[in-house]
Amino acid sequence: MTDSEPTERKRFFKDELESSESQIPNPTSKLDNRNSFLFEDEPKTTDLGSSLFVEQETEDLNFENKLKELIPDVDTRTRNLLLEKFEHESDPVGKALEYYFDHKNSLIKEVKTVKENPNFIDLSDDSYGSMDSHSRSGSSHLNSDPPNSHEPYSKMSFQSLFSQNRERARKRKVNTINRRILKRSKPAFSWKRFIGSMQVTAMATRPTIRPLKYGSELKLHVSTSSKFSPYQMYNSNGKKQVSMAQLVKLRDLEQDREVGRMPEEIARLVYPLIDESGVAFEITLVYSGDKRLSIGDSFIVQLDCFLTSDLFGKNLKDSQEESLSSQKIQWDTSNNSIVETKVEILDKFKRMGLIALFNKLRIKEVKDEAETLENLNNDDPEILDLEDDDTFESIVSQRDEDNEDDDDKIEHSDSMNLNQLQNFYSMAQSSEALKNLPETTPSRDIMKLDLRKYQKQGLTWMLRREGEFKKAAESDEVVAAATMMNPLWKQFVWPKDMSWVSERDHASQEKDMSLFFYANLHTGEFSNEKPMLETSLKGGILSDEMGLGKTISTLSLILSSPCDSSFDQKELFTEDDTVLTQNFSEITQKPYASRTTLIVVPMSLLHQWHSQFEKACSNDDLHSEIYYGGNVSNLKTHLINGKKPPTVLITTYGIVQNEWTKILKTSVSELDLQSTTGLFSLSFYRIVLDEGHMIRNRQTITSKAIMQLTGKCKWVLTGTPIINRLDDMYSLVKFLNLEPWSQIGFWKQFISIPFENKNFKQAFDVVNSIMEPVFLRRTKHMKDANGKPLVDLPPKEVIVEKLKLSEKQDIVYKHLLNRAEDSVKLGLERGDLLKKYSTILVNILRLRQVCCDVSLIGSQDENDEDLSNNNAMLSNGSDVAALLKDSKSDNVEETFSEIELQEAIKIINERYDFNNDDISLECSICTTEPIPLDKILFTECEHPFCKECLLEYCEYQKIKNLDLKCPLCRHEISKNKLLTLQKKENGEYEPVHYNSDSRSSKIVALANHLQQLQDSSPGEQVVVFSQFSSYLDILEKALRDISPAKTTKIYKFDGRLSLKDRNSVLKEFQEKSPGIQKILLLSLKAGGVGLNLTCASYAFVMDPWWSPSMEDQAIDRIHRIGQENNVKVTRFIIENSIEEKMLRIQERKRTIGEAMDADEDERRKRRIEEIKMLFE
Amino acid sequence: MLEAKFEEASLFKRIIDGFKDCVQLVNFQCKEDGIIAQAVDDSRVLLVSLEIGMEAFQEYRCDRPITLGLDLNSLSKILRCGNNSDTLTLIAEDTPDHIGLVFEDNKKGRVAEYILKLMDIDADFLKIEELQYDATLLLPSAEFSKNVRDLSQLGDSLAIAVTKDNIKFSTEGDIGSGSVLLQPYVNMDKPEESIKLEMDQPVDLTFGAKYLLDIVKGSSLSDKIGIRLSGEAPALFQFDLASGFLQFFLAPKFNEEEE
Repeated sequence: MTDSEPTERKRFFKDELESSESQIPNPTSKLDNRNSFLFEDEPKTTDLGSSLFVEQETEDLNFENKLKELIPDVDTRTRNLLLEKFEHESDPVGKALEYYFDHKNSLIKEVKTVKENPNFIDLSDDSYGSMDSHSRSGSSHLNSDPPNSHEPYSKMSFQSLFSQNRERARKRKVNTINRRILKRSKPAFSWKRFIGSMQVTAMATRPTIRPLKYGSELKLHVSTSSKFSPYQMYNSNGKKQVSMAQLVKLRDLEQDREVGRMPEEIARLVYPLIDESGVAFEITLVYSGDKRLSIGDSFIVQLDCFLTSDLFGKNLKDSQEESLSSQKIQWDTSNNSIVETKVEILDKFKRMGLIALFNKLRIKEVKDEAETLENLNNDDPEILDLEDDDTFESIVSQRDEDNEDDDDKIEHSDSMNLNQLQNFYSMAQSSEALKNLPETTPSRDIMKLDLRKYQKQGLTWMLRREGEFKKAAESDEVVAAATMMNPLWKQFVWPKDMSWVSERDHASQEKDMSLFFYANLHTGEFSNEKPMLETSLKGGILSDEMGLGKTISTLSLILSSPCDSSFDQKELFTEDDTVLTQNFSEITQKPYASRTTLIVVPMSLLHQWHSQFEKACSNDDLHSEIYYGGNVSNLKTHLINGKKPPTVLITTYGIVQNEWTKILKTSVSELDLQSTTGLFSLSFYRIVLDEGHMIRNRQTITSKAIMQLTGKCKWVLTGTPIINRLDDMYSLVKFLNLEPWSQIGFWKQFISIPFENKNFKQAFDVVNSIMEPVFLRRTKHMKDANGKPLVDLPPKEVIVEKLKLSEKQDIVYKHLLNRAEDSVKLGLERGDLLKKYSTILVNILRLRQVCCDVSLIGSQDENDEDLSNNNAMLSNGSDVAALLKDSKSDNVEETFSEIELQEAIKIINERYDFNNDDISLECSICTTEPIPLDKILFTECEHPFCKECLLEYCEYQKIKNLDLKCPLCRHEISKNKLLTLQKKENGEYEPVHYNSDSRSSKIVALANHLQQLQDSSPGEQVVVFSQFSSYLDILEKALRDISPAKTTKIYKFDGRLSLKDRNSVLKEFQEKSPGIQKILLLSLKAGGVGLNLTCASYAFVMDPWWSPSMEDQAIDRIHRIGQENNVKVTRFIIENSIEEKMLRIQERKRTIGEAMDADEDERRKRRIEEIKMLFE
Repeated sequence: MLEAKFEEASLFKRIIDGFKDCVQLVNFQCKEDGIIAQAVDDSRVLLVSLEIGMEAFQEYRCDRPITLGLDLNSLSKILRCGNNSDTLTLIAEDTPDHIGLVFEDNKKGRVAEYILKLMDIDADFLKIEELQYDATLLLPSAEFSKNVRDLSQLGDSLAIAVTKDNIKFSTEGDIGSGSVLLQPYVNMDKPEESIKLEMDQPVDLTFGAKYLLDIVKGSSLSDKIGIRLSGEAPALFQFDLASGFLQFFLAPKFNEEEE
């Protein structure tokens, strides 16, 4: 529009239109290059590169098209070459043409050389970019429009506004260009081999003008879309969110346009693989009905699948490293669940795609190489025709005969992965193999203690796991294991080439190729050579059941192999191991303490380990040290430059955690670790974690700290590798660096996810197969090769003694129960049960406490964390006191007065001579004669009865609301006016007032038991467990009151004890002193693990704990190796109380296993169920 | 052979809805690198110019330039048949007498195909020259359309006056008058809400409210509208697409009195 525009006229465009008629633009010219962004005319200096890049690209295409028009027979490569040569010229096409015809022959040669150099052909982004940068200065373009960059404008102010938009657009452009480049550089691999083909019925999505020709080539095309990136394809449950058929399209190569789409099933299969250079697809039209297609028509194509050299040459280690490092970041930031990075997810899709493709094509694993070789000539793979059901079935059934395993692979493609896995680890020792492990006996010079048979076998196993085959007892198996194929890899046979091209050309271009290929479907690695197993992991998990002597086994290992034999005193650490784990690289950086084993133990076991080592070690050169607080100023110099570094350095989890926290506080970078002086500054020959389940929660600082310890061999000792959930195991695997499972993605994919989806069996099977090679577990019940049990432990007898609450307890209990039930009901009704969770837990705790003793309520206890937080509940104490007063005042009038009591005692004494052995008193209720003296009750009217009979009678009368009368003389009696006999110190009995209310029933029962025990076998040691340490206080006091001080000694062991006191208490308790009954009151939490109390053979468990395994652990303090007597355990349970229900929950846990609580929600649900169970 | 695939049918729908009320018969020129269209309204006051670059498509392919004469009313009827999230592919042969529209669903695999007969539209294609403008505005399209809608209730013409540091929309009608004053404003967090103003000399132009109301219908295409004003030339209102634009050239009204 010109300035001379007539200004008066409204109709603005009229003239313009008229005048412009003649200048209708040539439709072939490109779109006006005036950019789509109105205000974007400002200088482009900021993004000159990229915008030019884009422009250049379209030019290149243009150049290409022109060339194509002019010389149709020129191929892409030549074109590229020409383009490269002449893009700087003012008339590239012309020059190129000239050159082409002049140098045709030499050019073709040139191209050929280029062909042989795949790097060049693989036009990656970068090379393109650099090519571009050369041409940037060249200002001559085919384009008639001047490039934007030459129009300087100074409207900078809009730049920021638009930049965002532009950025996006640029990205888009670059994307499409990348795609184009990919398209052009398609044959980037040097060879490809056929792996199978199938016939697919595709659906036309575009009408075609002419019918498609038989045999015309098609290709797969993915319509990329910003909406659906591959990792959004599935929702969190692994369910498909989008139809992939929508994304995978068939294109006609000749016309390069979309013709149809694959069925969903195939689309899903190939989608992840299309962009993968390792897999190539060729598609040929087989049948289209010889008519033009309209939308919805179906046509049949043959899909040939190839593996290309790219897949085989790929260096996966790099990408693995990458994912490892990215994972590390995740590790620190992730809060709760196991998370995967996007890269990992993408990789996973590709792997899964490959596996699915292999399934579809029925490429089967070669199990017996020789047999397969024989069959190979007969084997005639067919093109799978998915439409033809008959052939399909016949193929399947035919295969069935060949190999039954294949059957389920075909049927459930998902479950197959898991089945595979189990095969992968089939090399692991079966329990049979374990039995036949040779025994290694450490010589007397190094180990003073004798090992049991299974411990010797264990030693062999452990030495082998560390790769010290020389030291272990010889066997053929070892050699065999060394040449085994890596179990993660599978062997496959190349199928006969049935692809369209080869059928057509009758060409067999693969004579020289190998018959087999190998694949690791977990990492996606492929190889032509047989991958040998490299034992990357030294160490393992020794998970013998409690009491089988894990400590001794470990010590025997340490003593047999006290220092790294492969490590000579060179400055540089040149281990020829090819392990590429991250920790290993750290080993090379840190100084290597080749002669030291680090043992991390819970604090209570610190000294036990120390003394055990001293006991076992007979070599004076070896010694152990305790690293406990800063007793060593510089560990590095001490262990590496020191003259006599300790063979064993014992420390605690607390210290490891402490040091790590300090490091975290002071220095952030991991490299700084070297400058520190503590445990993290060096790498050990061997690290042993005792009670390794301490690190089961990978979120804890302790766990994180332990992961940072570096060592060559790593061992985990634990009797209970899984405590709460399957994922507990992950921490151990992570610590051991058990590849590939220590990568969170693998763990999640094969264990956590199936587990969450309730495929418990599968998940457990996988865990088992993972663990088998690195996991040694013997139980007490196991039998050796000769059928003898491993350990001859004396029998263990667990008796549940059901008690009734004393009256006082009963009243309080009922009161509390009502209250608790009310709150639970309220919670259930309102649906906010879990909000009140803590309140309910407190209520439950109260009930349990009442079952033990009323006075526990209100007392502060270490287990009682809720209490301090919940002040409202503190009022409970006073509540209860009031309650008790009430109940007492009801009865007070009926009890004996002091005089009456004396009177009654006197009369009874006169009437009966208890110290006469011949005395026989008959109970007139059950007619027992004689009544045992300790179970006798006298009424006011001095008639004897069995305790039980009389109490039952009293209760009965009470229920029936009848008067309480002596069954013998009908004299009125009172429940509070009964007499019983008590044994005096001189063995004589004397009548005392029977007062059922005075003590809680458990204490009474315990006292009775102890009394009986002292009577039958004086001088026994007895262990009493309780989870409430304040209950232990009460017990202590009560027992002191009851039992005569001369014959009874009471010890108490709980969390409040210092390390020193712990040792002295245990030492004193373990000494046998004749006639004196030693009672150890042991807190379940403080003493539940690790302690060795085999001197005692009687135990009483005062209160049940939620988890049965905790109680088992506790009982096993007694029932373990070294125990010579029968073990008798009595568990006190209050009848019809919460404790009984807890027993039921324990039972439930034992059967389903707590490990089932996969996720947090599940656990909460279960908790609710449990609460309901408690209050139903 | 034309094959142009929109990732979302809604984009094309919005483009067409943006100007279907002011023009009815439009020639769409499909070229190698995109689609352009141009049309003038019946009163010849408003010119619409559309350009959809190939990057706005998920896939685009046009072997040889073709012209598609479309009746926008009929086209929008068909566009209403597709769901917003469907992909939409326009298909035409090299010498077309009809255009095919294929909607494909993402999840269920539903495919819908519609054929629209083409029209022979006798219209000319204008070459729009780069003009020198006195003032350039950039403001949120929502802001602009609100002003236009509000003020157009009062009168049938609307004045836009730009001075050094403010923009004034005003109207005067039988029932009263109103004006809205805007000032340049920068919002760093939400750049799309910023108001930009550039000017070489003040302008004060009056436009027919009816036309502005038509222009405002393009607001759904972009959250910003660019306006360029000049005393001597039609004003330009532009909505940017991801690649391409929708432009309206509107001739100002001239005061009868001044004449």
